[in-house]
Amino acid sequence: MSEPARRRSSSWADRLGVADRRNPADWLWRLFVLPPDQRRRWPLPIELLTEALRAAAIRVLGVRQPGRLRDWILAALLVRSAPPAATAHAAEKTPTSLLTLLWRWLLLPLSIPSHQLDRVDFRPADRRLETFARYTTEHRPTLGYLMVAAVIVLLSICATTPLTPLAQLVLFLLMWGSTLLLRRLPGKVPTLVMVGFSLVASSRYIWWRLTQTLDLEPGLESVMGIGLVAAECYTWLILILRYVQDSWQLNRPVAPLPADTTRWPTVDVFVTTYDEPLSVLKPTVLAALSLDWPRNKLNVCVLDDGRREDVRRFAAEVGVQYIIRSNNFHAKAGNLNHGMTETRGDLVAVFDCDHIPVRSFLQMTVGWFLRDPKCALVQTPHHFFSPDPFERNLGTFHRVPNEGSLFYGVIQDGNDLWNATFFCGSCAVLRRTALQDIGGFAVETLTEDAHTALRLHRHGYTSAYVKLPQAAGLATETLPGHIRQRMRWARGMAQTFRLDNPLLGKGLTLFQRICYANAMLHFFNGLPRLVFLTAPLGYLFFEYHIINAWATTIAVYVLPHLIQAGLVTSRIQGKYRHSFWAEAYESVLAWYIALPTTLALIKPDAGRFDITAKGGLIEKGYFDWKISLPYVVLTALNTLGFLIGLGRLLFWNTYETGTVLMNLAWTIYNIFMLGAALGVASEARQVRVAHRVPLRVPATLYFEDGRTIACTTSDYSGRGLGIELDAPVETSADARVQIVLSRGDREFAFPALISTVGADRLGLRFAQLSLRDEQNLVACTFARADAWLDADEAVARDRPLVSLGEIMRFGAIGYRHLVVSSFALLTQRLRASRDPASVAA
Amino acid sequence: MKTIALVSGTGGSGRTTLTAALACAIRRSGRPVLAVDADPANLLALHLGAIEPAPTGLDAALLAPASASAYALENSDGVRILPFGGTSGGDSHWSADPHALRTLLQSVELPDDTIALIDTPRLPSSLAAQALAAADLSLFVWRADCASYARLGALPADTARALHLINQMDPTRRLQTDVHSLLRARLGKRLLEQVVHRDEALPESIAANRNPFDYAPRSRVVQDITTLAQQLIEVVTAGALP
Repeated sequence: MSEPARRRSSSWADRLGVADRRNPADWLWRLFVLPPDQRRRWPLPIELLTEALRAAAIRVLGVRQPGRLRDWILAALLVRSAPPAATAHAAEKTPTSLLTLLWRWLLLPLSIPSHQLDRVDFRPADRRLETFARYTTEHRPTLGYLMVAAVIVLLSICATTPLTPLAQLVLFLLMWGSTLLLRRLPGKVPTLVMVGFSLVASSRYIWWRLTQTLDLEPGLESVMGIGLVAAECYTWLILILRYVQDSWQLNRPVAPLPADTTRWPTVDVFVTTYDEPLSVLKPTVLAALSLDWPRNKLNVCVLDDGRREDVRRFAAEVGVQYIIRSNNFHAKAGNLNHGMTETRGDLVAVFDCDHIPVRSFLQMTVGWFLRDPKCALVQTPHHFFSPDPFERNLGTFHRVPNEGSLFYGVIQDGNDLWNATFFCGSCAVLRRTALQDIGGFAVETLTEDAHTALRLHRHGYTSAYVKLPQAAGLATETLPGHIRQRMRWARGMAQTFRLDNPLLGKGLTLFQRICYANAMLHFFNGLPRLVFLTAPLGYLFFEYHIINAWATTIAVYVLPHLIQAGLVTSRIQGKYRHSFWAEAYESVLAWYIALPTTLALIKPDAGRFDITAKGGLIEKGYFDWKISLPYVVLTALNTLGFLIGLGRLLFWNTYETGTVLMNLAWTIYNIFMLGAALGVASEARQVRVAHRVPLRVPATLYFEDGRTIACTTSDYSGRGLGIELDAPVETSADARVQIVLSRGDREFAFPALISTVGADRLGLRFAQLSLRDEQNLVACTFARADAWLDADEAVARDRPLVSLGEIMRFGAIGYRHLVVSSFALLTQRLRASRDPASVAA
Repeated sequence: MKTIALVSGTGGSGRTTLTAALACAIRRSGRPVLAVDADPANLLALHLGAIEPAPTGLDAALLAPASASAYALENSDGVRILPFGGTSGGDSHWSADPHALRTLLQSVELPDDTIALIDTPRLPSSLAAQALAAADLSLFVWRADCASYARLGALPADTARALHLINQMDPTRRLQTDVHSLLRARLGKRLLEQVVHRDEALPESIAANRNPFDYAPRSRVVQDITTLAQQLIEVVTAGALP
């Protein structure tokens, strides 16, 4: 209890408990709020209870400094400030045991049939299905088309049969239960059955949406309602096209080459460059020179649109053809076409200047040109040894499949089944005569690669996709660069869709049309994604019922649609795209590709070729306000909607709790997705210019005095090498050494300096290497045939619920970055307004 | 007992040092080993821990009626050594009986799983020829240099039981890696893939009178010789060449 009598004589400041007399804010604060030591106490039981609650909250939320409001806000956003290592491993932890137990108990009825099913061998069924499919496509194509028609008729019947909500629920439970059993089984048959279930569930949903829920008030409500249903129809269409494209992957083997090398074709290797530094170009050219191919049948060319003297000198030094032209018309496509006029090889291999091929590239790909005389294109995956902005800023490198791995892991392999593999601009081989037949590389669009492949297919040529990483390169460094690249793809694909629509015109099979259409339509996802990110706001803000149905009815239709599609997608793509990541990737790009794709549809000839910067470094972590502005706005809107929704839930709309809850849940999901997008916009620091690639091979370290250490490498880059030791060695920084690596049965020594000395590792920095040394170094590292073969091994398998949890965590982390950056920005602004001189200094 | 003769057509290929190191490696793998010095230079015992050159040995056994076992030594690692012994008269008296070495070796009483390594003088010489005839496996030791490549043509005709090894390989020298490639093309499968690298650890350990496996356990040469010893044991016990 206070003792006001003792303080009566002292000044007002003391009386009020003002700590800093010169601060008016302090005076104002203390006028209304007592200092902590004068706090009047509640009755004891309430005191104890609040104290216990406060302590519990601090413990559970993990508030760092309970005295600071900021820490409470951060903690309330569920952000744990765990060390980065701990966050990296958090995903491997199983969910809380109580939840797991509950889940297992729920699924108990399924355990008996699932054990029965485990004893069945489904592989013969798979083989029979494959034989039948091959027979149909090769000998009875009409039968194939009849079956497609039958599927469409059956699906229409299933989709349009009216059911009561209860019957619809039972249907869903049956399909869901069967799917949970089926997903345990390997092979194509269960996949196709699951695809069937998903098609039924989604088509029923769309049919119901179109026929039962569009009784809307005229005005904004109709606009939003129809917008939403249009976006949903788009996703449904994409879903169907994707199932056609992805459900059956070809997994094409490598076609062996004849033993007689005189029958091998001659190859021109084109390395295209514009303004990339020589240090990026060098390894690619050196690796191209080390390709395992007869010397007299290999011609490496540098196609330099930058017409730079140092590149010309380098080309002369290593003895490769240097090709330039007098203009830069049609950017890369024009450059390649000009290159074709200066060379005469049977085949043309195309590499971007930062895609380093491995030595076996040609031997793994060229076989298909000899086996199939109509084959015009063999594409291999693009592999990246540096993290893209998502991987770097979220810390998911090597753990969560990146954005590109879905395309190269599943989509291209599915395309290949339908002879619809796209050319991806790099890491591919093309047949010269076929290119000449179609008039060279296509120059009309920004995505000359896919357009060229489309032309080849129209002219009846075949293509092949060999799913072995036979080259690797740098990913785009920063988020703006990444977005610019995707914008270019999206625009180019939209242009192609307008100018040379795959659904129209001669020469393509039905399935080739579907594969191309999906590849292009897929890039129109920006607008629908924005619709989904804002749709619940219509109700939360204005009480528009843009889906005119009871919440429970919506649930029995939409949940089967989402869950079935999610389960199939996880099965087909799980190794290459974790569940819910597509939404995260799309959310980041949505705003930026929505406008360009729409514009390109309307006015396809607008647009400029854009090249993304590579090989830079980010000296200080920062939050990219410019890029993330749309997401900050969307987040603010969704948060506001959520708060209003709470009001509707508790006070204003208590008669339709279900509707409010549904919209709230949707908003929460959106808020987390947007949070993940904000997390990506927070650029993490990147200190190394040269990226380190893990590599474990035996090596020998030679010291100047002739001593040696047999050791194992841990990682390498173009500039240095890490070595693992089992015990410390006597050496010092800057000591000169030679490091010996082997390529096949040959050994190569490279002069180096010791840069770091650790207890169990040494860091080496290569000394001045001659060109020959550099070529050997590339051959021993980047260009090893097995360099990237097990690159996917470390990636964790997809577990949908864990993945959802992870996205939500990234969402929370994104908000932490947002809050911290806002505080930083605010303090900076405040300080600047108070004392401009100190900031300038 | 299985015997391996280490021979070479050029001098300075490092036979004696290699024989000693291999003997240590085989002993460390748990098998009994006998290192036989058939080189009048009489240096092998010095490489295996002896302080002074052995005064008597194989050479004396040729003239004496006693078993050669009488002249054998054993070092602290358990490697048994049959030195050549001090001589002043060269090796001309060995040419009288072309099977003298084989007879002597057969008289040595040792466990059946013993591996005997014979260090020989440079080819051509009668002692080296006797060692080749007596051995279950001949290991030709070469340096990756031009002289070795030139000498390959003058090899004895019967090389069915022969393998070739590159010793003192220095990958920091371009010429050596090139000659290595040439030798590989010339010899094919008979050239062992495992090479023994040049490494100061070996001469240093001999100078320090210590076993290289204790002196520099993490050096490249020790790893090379350990692997090589394993391969040779497999070859002689299986009785089939790769």
